[in-house]
Amino acid sequence: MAIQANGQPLRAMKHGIAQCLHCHRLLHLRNIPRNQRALCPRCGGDVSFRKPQSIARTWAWVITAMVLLVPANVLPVMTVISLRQGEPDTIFSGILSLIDAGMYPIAAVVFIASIVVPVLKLVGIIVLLLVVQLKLKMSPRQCTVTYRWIEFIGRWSMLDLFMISILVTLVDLGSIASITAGAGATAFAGVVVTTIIAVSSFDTRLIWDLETSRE
Amino acid sequence: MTEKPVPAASLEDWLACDHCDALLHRRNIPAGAAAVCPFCGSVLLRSKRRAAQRTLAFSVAGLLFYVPANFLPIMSFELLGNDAFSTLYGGVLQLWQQGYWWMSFLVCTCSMVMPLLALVVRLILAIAMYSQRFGRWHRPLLRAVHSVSEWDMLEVYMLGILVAFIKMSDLGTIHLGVALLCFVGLLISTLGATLSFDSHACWEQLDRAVRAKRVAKRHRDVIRRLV
Repeated sequence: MAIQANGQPLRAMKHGIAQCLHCHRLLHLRNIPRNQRALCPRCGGDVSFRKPQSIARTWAWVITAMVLLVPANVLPVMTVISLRQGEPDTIFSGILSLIDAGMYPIAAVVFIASIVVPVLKLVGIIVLLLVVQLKLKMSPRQCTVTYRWIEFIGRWSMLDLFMISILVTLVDLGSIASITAGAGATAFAGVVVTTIIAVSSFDTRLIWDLETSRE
Repeated sequence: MTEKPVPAASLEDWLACDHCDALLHRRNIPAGAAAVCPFCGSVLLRSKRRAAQRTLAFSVAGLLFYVPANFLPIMSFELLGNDAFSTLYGGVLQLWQQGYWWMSFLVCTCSMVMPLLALVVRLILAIAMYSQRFGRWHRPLLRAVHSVSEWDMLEVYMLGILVAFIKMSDLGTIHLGVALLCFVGLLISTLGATLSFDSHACWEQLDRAVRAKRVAKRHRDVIRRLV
């Protein structure tokens, strides 16, 4: 471990060292002009000190996700027709009907995967963005742990989409019973993808840079 | 506390943390252990035991399970004497036919394409590690490994199968199919291949192989000139 006299770690960027995020190779990098790119000599990927325009890109994806969240919850995601009866279900009414049927654990799983996870993810990434932009004094270590959690839980929102994909073929009995997807599912798929990209375009090292600049 | 060491021209024995940019001395860690950043707690690198052999075994097993898991019925649903069955591929196709092409594309990517790529790419790299033969074309593969796995969501699909099963068992009769077992096999092998693959070791071996090739070429050139 390399620690400075004040107990702070050495930061790679301070020593002109950049890390290739594709292959983790370190290299000495001078400031590159705006119109040029630095390529990793080992894997050929783009190298920079920080992810380029991380804050702006993350905001762009977050806002897209928030806009898509509205149709995803308002429009129906799935229609179950049994003996010519049935009406479209939104994400929320689907959960309510699971509760009505007494399937509490499944209702909880679907509720967590399709409502709690996307909202928590968006709130979390917005908090991290604000920490960087408003230079809030939060423990950078805790922020990084939060980021890792957000990164991990993101994929589980795909649950509802996979379930719909299974159900549309499983219950395909013509006039007796059938299940079709709904427009809300497309919007929800958009939410899942945009939040995943938003999280991956955020650079946690920006939070640690605040510490360095305060010194 | 150590005196402030400034990394010299060679960065071979240094590491930087992905998440907090701390510069750290690289030390050899025992096989099977992980090096964790002391400042932010993220895993810097993990050295894997018998990475090449295990990845090879898991990815071959996964590829064997792949076709039956994707194309045979996972479960079938019976109501009033009529029945239908669901396959991974069938779900993608049905969504496409209902006009939900974007959802169909996403489900296809996360449950069919990326798992296959994850297995094939790891198999190719494991063979290269095992036989110590690397070429330039291995680089894009090794670079892609991480992002491919990010979109490989078989474990989420497994949960989706469970939820669909419980939800529908109320409505009619459900029979589990052969493909469910194959799917579990595929899931376990993919997880095994992902966990046992050592990308750090693979980059190092690739570097060494490329360097050795360059030296060999230089030697050949010298000899040719002398002759």
